[in-house]
Amino acid sequence: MAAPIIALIDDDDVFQLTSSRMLRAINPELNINQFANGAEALTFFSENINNPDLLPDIILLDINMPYVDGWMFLQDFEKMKVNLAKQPTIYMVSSSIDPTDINKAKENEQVEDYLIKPITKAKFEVLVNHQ
Amino acid sequence: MRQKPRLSLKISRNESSLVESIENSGMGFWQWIVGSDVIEWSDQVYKLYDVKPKEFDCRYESYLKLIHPQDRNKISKTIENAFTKGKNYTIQHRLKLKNGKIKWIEGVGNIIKNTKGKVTKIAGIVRDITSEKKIESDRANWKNRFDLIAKSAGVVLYDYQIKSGKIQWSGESIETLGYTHKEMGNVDAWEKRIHPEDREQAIALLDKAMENVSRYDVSYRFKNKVGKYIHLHDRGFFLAGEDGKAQTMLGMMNDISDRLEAEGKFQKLISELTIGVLVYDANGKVIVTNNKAQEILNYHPFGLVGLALENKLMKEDGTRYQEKDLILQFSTRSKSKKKDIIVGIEHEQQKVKWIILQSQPLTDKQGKVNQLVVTLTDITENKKYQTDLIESEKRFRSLQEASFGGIGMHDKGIIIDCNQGLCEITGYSYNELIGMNGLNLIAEEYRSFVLERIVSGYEKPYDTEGIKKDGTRYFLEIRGKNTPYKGKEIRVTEFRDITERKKSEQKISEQNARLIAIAEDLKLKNDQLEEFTQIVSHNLRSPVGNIITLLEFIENSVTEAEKSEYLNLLKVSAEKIQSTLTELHEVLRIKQNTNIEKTNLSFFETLAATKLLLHTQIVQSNTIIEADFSACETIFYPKVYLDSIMLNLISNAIKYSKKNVPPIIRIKTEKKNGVCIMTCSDNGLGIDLEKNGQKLFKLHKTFHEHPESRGIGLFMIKNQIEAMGGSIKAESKVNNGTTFIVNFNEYNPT
Repeated sequence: MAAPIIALIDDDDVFQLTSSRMLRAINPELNINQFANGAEALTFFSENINNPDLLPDIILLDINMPYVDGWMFLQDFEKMKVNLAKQPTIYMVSSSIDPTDINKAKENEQVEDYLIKPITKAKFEVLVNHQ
Repeated sequence: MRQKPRLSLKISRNESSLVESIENSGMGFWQWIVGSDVIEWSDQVYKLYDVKPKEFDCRYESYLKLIHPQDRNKISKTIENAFTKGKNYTIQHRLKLKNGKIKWIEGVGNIIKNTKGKVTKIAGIVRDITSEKKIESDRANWKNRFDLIAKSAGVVLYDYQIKSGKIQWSGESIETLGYTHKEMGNVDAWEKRIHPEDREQAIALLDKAMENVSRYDVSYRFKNKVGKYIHLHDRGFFLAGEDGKAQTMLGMMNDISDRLEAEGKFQKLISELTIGVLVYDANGKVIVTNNKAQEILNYHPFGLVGLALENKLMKEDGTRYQEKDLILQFSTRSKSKKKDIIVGIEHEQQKVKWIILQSQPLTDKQGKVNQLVVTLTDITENKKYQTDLIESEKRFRSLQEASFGGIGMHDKGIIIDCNQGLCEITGYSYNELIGMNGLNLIAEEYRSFVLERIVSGYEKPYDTEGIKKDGTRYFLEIRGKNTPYKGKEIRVTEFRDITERKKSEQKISEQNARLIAIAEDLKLKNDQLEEFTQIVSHNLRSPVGNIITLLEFIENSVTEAEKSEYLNLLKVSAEKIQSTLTELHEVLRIKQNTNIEKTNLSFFETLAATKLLLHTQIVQSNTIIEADFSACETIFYPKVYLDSIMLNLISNAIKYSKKNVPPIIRIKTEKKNGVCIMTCSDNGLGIDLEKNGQKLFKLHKTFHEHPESRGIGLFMIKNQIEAMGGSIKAESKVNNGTTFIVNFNEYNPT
């Protein structure tokens, strides 16, 4: 089986860099797609809606982003999802420990789990291997 | 001219008498002896074939030429068969006569053999069957014509052979039922499509007609092609077979749904009427009635025929009607209408129902009365009400005296009676009040308001202000009601002094307002707290998380290059924390520092300074700024804040302008209820407020893919404005520009 494709949707450059490196260390074959905000990701998905080879298996979605944030991404993604050639597992990733954010994420059926930053390599390993 | 002998046939004597009788019945006889080259014909054959004996050589080939060309082949084959296989035959064929007419002939050929079994000759008979053929074709034509009529009348025809269960359908089955004749199917298919509720009864009726071999006439609901039930009228007759039992069922059906619906509607209309209806026909029989009539008369209306109900009816004065009064009976003698006759009818226990009766005879074209329509309206309750009213008038006096409030009765404003209470409230004496215009008891500015309610007959209580004889005003609750009084429609008005109630009401509403203000303030504070939680959660915790991760990376770095890369990133994260902390500090300062020094500032001058700061952007983008501060030229406000508000609003308007459309910014002030409001509108990209409205003024929120979006400006000025007791809101539509409305003193009116 080919290594999973992971979409990192986060405006934080440092998080993007550290996460990608940890993921690659776990599995050098991993295909990592980086998006600076929800809009960029949505555009990419809609352009490749019929192409399972380019669509992610796992989405790591930040809440707080400029322009289209995590919540808005989920709203638009829900409409797009039915036509998507691949159904990814979505993890919300945020530094927020505010129960409002955590509950909101857990109530959303599209979200598999809510992960609090910083994310350790061990946690990433579980995510990737769970897939 | 050679006369051929009548019987030039080589036949025996026995045969000759037979041939004679054949000839006499109009048929022809012929024979062809084996070995001969001619066919022998009797005279009649010549006649039938329309040839003269001297003109015809009687050869087989010549004979074939007389046959209609289309039948020739058939004939020659049949005769050849007869010779070669010894087969007798009967055949029908056409002749084409000299005059061009067609004649139908039936020919019979018999093979005759000798005692040794050898074929010696063929002999046969021919006869003219043209007229029979015509009947046959007429019958086919008749069927076609009948179908045509059936179609134009929308009728479905059928011919049901009872033994086989087969039905031959014709007529308009598609138009009427949606099925083709084939789809209509046999008797089972028909039965299945009858509505289950109607099936049993319809079949029973038909079975009875079948048993009696008689006519039938039934109607039932039938499922059409699209599954909808339509009402079919089905009638016809059974025909007996030789055994005297029904063998064939012939009939037709058509759709009567429309007719039934119309009839049903009429019946329903009548049955739902709240007045009783009776319609008599010329025989005095009730043909239409409804439940109400039955209820009023306490009789089954169909039992009314010939009943002299008149002696059960009484006049309003209690005397009885006579039979000859013909109140409730049909009479051809009386053409006059009866209008508004009040009659009483005794029900059980000597209870009397009072009825208003109207009757209307209907005449036919000859002017003869043929129907009578009677309507009955139950007025028992009304009658009771009238009696009650007389009593209540008596009670009124005593009641109004006992009332705590003031009661006045007025006729179009002029007081005709009042109680002591009204005198006490208004300060006038009874004698002063009688004859006075009641409106004079109302404070002048409320008189038209009160008059409006008198004229419209308003019956609910309402508040107004009264004026006493000594000129003092008081809060007054009025409740008026129109009532019949001594034969007139007058208005009874109750006055209630509600000064005390008003005072406490006012106190409550003041306290309410204060509570609302406190609640608003609390909400604002709560919102701000939530905002801080968000800032700490996202903007501070995020770089801290990065630092933790990076430190781990550094610990595990092998090369110096790696280490230095992570150190650089550490620096970036630390700087981010620092800048957020600075912003937070700034906001906290604003929130705490509500006593910041205020001065009188000119909007115009502030705008001029802002324009100077934004000079480059304004020139580059061709921005046009239209300002109108005439309604409110100055404001007592912290200078730094007003500068910041103006700068942020205008720079935002320029930053988020549409591509290739020069920004037009309209900025103006106005004064509402002593509060200064500034609005700033642009023609830019606009914001989807439904999506982003909640985040508009939050820290680090941006809504456009703009490189310079940092999401700080609106957050900061909102804090500044709110710290000064004001508010800011936005109105916008995507691609339709944005308007920011700054209310400088919303919660702190000066």
